[in-house]
Amino acid sequence: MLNYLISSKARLEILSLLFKNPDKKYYAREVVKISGLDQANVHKELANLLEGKFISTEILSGKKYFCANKESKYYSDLKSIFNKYQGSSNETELFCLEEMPNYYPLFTCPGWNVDMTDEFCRIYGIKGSLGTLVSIFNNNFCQLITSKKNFYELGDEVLLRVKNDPAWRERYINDLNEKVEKLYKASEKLKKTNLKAYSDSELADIYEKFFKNYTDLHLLHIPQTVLDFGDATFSKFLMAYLESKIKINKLSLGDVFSSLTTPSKPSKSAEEYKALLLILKDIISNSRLKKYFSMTETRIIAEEINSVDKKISIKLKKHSDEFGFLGYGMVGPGWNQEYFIDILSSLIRQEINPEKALREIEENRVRTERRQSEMEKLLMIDSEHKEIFKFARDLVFTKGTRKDSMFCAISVLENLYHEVGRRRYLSLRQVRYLSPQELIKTLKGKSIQSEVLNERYNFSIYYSSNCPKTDIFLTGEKAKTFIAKLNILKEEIGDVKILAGDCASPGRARGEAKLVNVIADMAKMKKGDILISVATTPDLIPAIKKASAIVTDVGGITCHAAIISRELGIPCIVGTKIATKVIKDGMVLDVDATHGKVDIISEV
Amino acid sequence: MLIKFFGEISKKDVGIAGGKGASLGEMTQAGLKVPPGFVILAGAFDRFLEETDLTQELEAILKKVSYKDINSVDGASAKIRDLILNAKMPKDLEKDIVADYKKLKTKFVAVRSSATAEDSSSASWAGELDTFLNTTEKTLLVNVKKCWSSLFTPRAIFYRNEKKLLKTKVSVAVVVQKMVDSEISGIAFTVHPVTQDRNQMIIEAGYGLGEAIVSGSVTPDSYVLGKKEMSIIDINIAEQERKIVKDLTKGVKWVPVLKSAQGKQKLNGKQIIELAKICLAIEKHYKFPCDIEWAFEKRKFYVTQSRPITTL
Repeated sequence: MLNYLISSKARLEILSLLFKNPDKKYYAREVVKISGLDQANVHKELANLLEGKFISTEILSGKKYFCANKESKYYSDLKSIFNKYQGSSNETELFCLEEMPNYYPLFTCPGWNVDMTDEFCRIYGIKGSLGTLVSIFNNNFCQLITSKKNFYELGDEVLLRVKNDPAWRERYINDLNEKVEKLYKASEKLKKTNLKAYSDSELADIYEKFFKNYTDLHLLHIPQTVLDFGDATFSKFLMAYLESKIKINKLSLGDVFSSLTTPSKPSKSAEEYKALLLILKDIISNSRLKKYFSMTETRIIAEEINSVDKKISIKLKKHSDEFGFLGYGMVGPGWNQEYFIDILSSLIRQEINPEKALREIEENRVRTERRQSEMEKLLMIDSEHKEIFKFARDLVFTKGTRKDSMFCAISVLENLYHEVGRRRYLSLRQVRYLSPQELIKTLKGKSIQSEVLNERYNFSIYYSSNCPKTDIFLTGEKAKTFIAKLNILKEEIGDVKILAGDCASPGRARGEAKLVNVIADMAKMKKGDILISVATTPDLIPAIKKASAIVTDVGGITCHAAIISRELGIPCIVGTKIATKVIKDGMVLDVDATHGKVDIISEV
Repeated sequence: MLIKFFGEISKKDVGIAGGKGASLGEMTQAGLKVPPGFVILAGAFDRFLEETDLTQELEAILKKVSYKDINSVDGASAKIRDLILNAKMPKDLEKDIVADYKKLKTKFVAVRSSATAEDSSSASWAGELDTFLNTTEKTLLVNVKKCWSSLFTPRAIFYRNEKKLLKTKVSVAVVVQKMVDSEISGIAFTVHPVTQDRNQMIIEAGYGLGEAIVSGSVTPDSYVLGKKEMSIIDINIAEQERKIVKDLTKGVKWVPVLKSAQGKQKLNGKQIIELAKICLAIEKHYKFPCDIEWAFEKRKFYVTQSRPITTL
């Protein structure tokens, strides 16, 4: 309960440590280690408590030690208070894994996710469990909260496997590829299904079956998440290895790390771009058509193209059928023909030569591979680590393919949501705020209050704690009371001048900062601005394409921002934790992605 | 016959019943749920002017108006309106109005003016005229006369001069309609007013009487619907802190909305679809996208007004 009196967690823990053990002396690193707190916070609090004369220092053999100040007039009182203090260890320490716009219950499903993780651990021989998962929905933003200890332990366990078990790595990647294909096939099938022809309970069965395919793939997100979120365990391990290697060379760590973890295989978006360039080739080979595209308004082209040029019209339709979902993200809409026409017109006006662009993409791929083998040679990376880096590339690549496949599935699911909404008089958003289990129950006859769904969108807690399969959804006051009882760690932000994170794509840029988290934010992005985001999503691609650099709060080498920025050659820093809280629209920033540093050049 | 019930009027009667009156008649004949009522036709007003010898007097006053001088217009308006209010209504007309009012079997009626003009399209100034909600037997005849006199508010006088309607014969009919004491009311557009997408419909809904939404004094919920499938595409809920309700002395008044209801969705999904189907039927009847005013009382929807959207 003392945390209600002393709200700074670092202060509470340091006071507790020093006053429970008044005869012991600790140096700063020791305090960090014992308390598990962030180093910067410990230093800040030690300085603060020292100034208040609650603690004192001693220098012993060149090292600075901290201890309780026995001269302080509060000494005996504090000692008796902290002797009664049990510490916060009996409550599970929770932390916010990510805060994302547009997430709805399908993406969080706590009980199911906790079960999934156990299932994954069982199948893949990993010790560990998530235990607690809470999602807080708040007006289109969702915070995912989980047990810090469990999450980090899972990360360590998975890393152990990744480091030592080549067969495990191979099995995992193969499974992932297989499930990605399966989900694409299921989506293709669902897309062609005339949902109206089925009864309510048949619709429930269709959904349940589809959901199974979705979960089979979703299950495999766990290594990608625990290795790369939170502390970016895997990136840190790879970097530490590289650091020991580049000491003798004069290479930059960010540069080396980025090239060795960038997959050379084209992602779905890269495939889309290549396919679009082929359409571009067709258009500019006909000078009349070329002029038409560069001079006509997009909306008009979309209306007329069928009568202007049948062949191109068919190709455009096929292209948007095949790739439109890439823009869908979590809530859509996906890219339509108009979007692709817009891109094509813009490419024509920029006088992009499609043959040359296609050649460059291929040359880039070859160059990336060549650079990778050059670096491996130069740094004398042993075959074991070569394989681990290859796994890192596969991990980055499959995270992209997994997400693409899931977004495709979600975009197709929209048809089913519409049909459920039509039958139950609910809007699309209301249907989305049903949990998958509730959606099935609703189709099987259980009635649902639309008011409850509205409340969930406004503010709600969706959680499962240690008793899987009993998901609980709370709204209103009940939700508020529940949150107040949770022990959620808060990132403490001091006065920050330099922000640091990990290099996801090297380079340097200077420009105006723009916070972009949801589609509506994209309007303020101008070419050359620096995009600041909690974590980017495919819906934000148009803004990303304008950015001179990207900085995110969360994510490691496999996050969306990292993958996209490398593909587009935009400098990118991920995992700063606090960028969106510190940076404001209009600040001028200097982003040194290669070294993972962001300088605030001028305030607003 | 100077009074006609809605069932006896169709859209062809704009000349005698005014735009509003004709539309209510048309909808009633089409079998839509319209609160019952009747129209005191423009002829009644003409007869009133004749029998009270006011025609020449009004013309004389209007002739002297200097339109550049606001005071002059105001003065003329006040003079004319006093004349109308103080003049005696023909006895038989009085009797007929009260008798028909009794046929409605309700205490409260809405009394609205419905302007007529030979050129009906230029009579779209209906909005300029008056409405008296929650009129009772006691105030019925006075409010009818007030509706007549609303043809001569300073704004109406200006408007007629501006639109060069002075020479045209303009008159006014009066609609007397059973009050719907709506718990929820609003507007519907059977075409998306912003994107002009004809496959979509928008319904706006708020608590209390419709005047709050029509006048734009509260932000209503808005529901977007797909017309082909009759499915709800989007629901946007607006917080509503106050609403307009019936008041026994003043006609209407503003009151606060219960705290617990302020952020709630006004119509549930089923009700939204029920209303959307009614609106679609209206559109089908007019063969044109429509702008519809509706009210919801005791679990029933009523159409209180509808007109084709002519700006498309």
